[in-house]
Amino acid sequence: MTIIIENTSPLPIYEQIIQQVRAQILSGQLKEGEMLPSIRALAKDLRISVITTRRAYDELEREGYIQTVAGRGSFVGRRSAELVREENLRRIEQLLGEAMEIAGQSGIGLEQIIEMLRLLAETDEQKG
Amino acid sequence: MTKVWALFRGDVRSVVRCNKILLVMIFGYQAAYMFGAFSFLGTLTVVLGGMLAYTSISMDERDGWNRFVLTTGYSRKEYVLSKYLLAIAGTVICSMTLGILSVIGQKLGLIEMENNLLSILPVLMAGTLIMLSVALPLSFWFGMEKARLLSILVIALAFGFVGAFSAITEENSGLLVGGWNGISLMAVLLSVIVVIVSVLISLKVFDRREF
Amino acid sequence: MPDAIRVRELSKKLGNFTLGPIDMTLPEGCVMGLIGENGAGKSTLISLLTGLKHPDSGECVLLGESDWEKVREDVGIVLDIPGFPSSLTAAEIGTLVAPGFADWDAELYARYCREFALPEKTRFGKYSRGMKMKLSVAVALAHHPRLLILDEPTGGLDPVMRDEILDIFYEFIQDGSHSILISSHILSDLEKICDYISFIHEGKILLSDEKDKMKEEYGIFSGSKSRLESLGSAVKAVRETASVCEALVLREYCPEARPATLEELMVFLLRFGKGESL
Repeated sequence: MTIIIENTSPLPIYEQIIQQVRAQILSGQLKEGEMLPSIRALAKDLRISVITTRRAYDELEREGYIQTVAGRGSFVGRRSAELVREENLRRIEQLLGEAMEIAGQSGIGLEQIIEMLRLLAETDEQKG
Repeated sequence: MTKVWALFRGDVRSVVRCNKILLVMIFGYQAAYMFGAFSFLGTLTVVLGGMLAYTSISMDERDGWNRFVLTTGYSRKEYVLSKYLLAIAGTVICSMTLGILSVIGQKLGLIEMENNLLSILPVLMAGTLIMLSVALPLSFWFGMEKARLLSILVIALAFGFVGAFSAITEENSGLLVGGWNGISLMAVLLSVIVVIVSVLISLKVFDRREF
Repeated sequence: MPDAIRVRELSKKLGNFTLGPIDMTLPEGCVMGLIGENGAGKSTLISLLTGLKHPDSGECVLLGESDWEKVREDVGIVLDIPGFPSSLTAAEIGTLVAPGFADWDAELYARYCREFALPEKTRFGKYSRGMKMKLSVAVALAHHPRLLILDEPTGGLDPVMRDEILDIFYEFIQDGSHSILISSHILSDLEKICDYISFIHEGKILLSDEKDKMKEEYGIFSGSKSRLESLGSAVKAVRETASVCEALVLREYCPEARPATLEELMVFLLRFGKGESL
C-alpha cells in the first residue's frame, strides 16, 4: 500500500490517508481481505504520529472500508465488495443520468438509447 | 553488592589509567622504604593509597559521571559504597605491600630492626581511614569543585598526620612496639566505628544531593 | 495500562527560578515532545522525573510507580551531556553499566556500537559530541526499557546521524507498550515523530496537547490589522512590524489562517505570546 503525504496540503494528514486508502480499495488496488500495515508501522514509514494513523484507520473502519481484529491487524473488509458495487452503481447512475439529459436536449428517444446499450453490450461480449 | 563491585572495578580501571605517575610514585616510595630510606614517604604511601578514592571522586566530577551514573541503573547508595570500598582497598593494599616490603627489607638486612613497621601499621591504617572518613562525606556534599580548599586542607592534614606519625615512631618506638597491643587495637576499633558513621553520613548526604 | 508519565502539581524552586506547578500526562505507547527556550525548565523537569533532583511538592509517577528506585530498570535516559568515565572505551563502558540492569542485552549493545561505527579502541574522553550521544543512546536502549526519556538527544548531530537516531526511536515505539519523552530544539525532528507536544516557558506549561489537534486548532494569520482586531480573543500572539501583521490564531474563527508549523507555534507562543497557559 503506497500512501503519499503532502505536508503543504490544507487537508489534514489523516484525511489524506483516508482518501488514498479509500481510493485504492474502490479501484481494487487493495483487495478484499488484504492486510494493511499496522498503525505503528504506517506511522513509522510515513514518519508521522501514531495518533494520526489511528484516527485514519478508525474513520475507515467506521465507514466500513476496513476491519480491525484485535491482536491481528487491519484488513480490507468483506463489506468492501459491496461498497465497491454501491460506488460503481452510483457512478453508472450518474453517467446514465447525464446521458439521458443530453438525449433529452437533442430529442433522442429512449428506444434509441436502449438500442445503443444493446449494441455496446454485444461488442463487449465479443471482446470477451 | 555485585553492583558496588562493578562500580569499584570500573573505578580501579579509570584511576589506574589516569594516575600512572602517582602509582609509580607510591611504588617508588615503598621500594625506597624497603631499602631503608625515606621512611616518611614510605608511610605516606598508605595515605596516598587511601586517597585514590578521593581522586576517583574528583575524576567523576570532571567527567560528569557522578551525576550520569545515576541514569545507568546504579543507585546513589551503590555509588557511595563503591568509593568507600576504594578507600579501604587502597589503604589496606598499600599497607600490606609496605608491610611485606619492610619485612623483606629487614630479612635482607637493609632496614634496622628497631624500625618495626608492622607494629605500627594498624595505627597507620586506622589513622588514614579516620582521615578519609572525614574527607569523604564533605566531598560527597560539596563536590570537589566547590571544595578545592577542602582538598588542600585534607592533603595538608595527611602530610601533617604522617609527619607527626613518623616523628613519634622514630622517637618513641617504645610506645608502639609490640605488635597488636592495646593502642593498636583501640585505633583499629575506633577507625571501624568512624568509617561506619562516615558511610551513614555520606549515604544521607549524597541522597539529598541534587544534580 | 497506566500512563507512561503522570505529573501532578510538580514544583521546584531553584534560586530565582520556579518550575511549576506542572501537570503533564504521557499516555502509554506515545511520544511526547517537550519544547521550550533555553532555561525554560526542560532539563529541570527531566531531572525531577529521573531522580536527579527532588521536587518541593507534587508527584511524579512513571509507569505507574512513584518510587524512582523501583522503576529505574525500565527507564532509559539520555541526558544532554553524556558523562561516562573518560578513560574507558565503549566495550568497557558496556561492562561497567551491565550489572546495573537486570535486562542488559550485551549483544544488542555491541550491535548498536557497530551500527553507530563507534571505534573500539578509543577512549570516551576522545569522542566527538555525536559519538558520545550515540553511545549514550546505545546504553539507554540496550537494557530494554519501556520508557525513554531524552534530553536534547540530537543536539550536535548532523542531519544524517539525526535521521539514523530517529529511525531507532521509531523502531522503539513499534512496541505499543513503549513510550518516549523527548525534549529538543530541533523541531523538524519532533514534527514527525511526536504524538503529543508540551510547550514550556519560564517554568510553566503553556500548552500541552495532541500535536495534530494543535496544528488543526492553531494557524497563522497574515493580513490587515483591522481584520486582526475583529478576531478578538481568537488571537493568541501577535507579531507586528511596520509592513506586516501576523498572528497566531484559532483557525475556527479565522478560516483564512494557514496551518502553523511547530516552529511557528513555538516562536509565536514563546516570544510574542502573553506567557499564560492557553
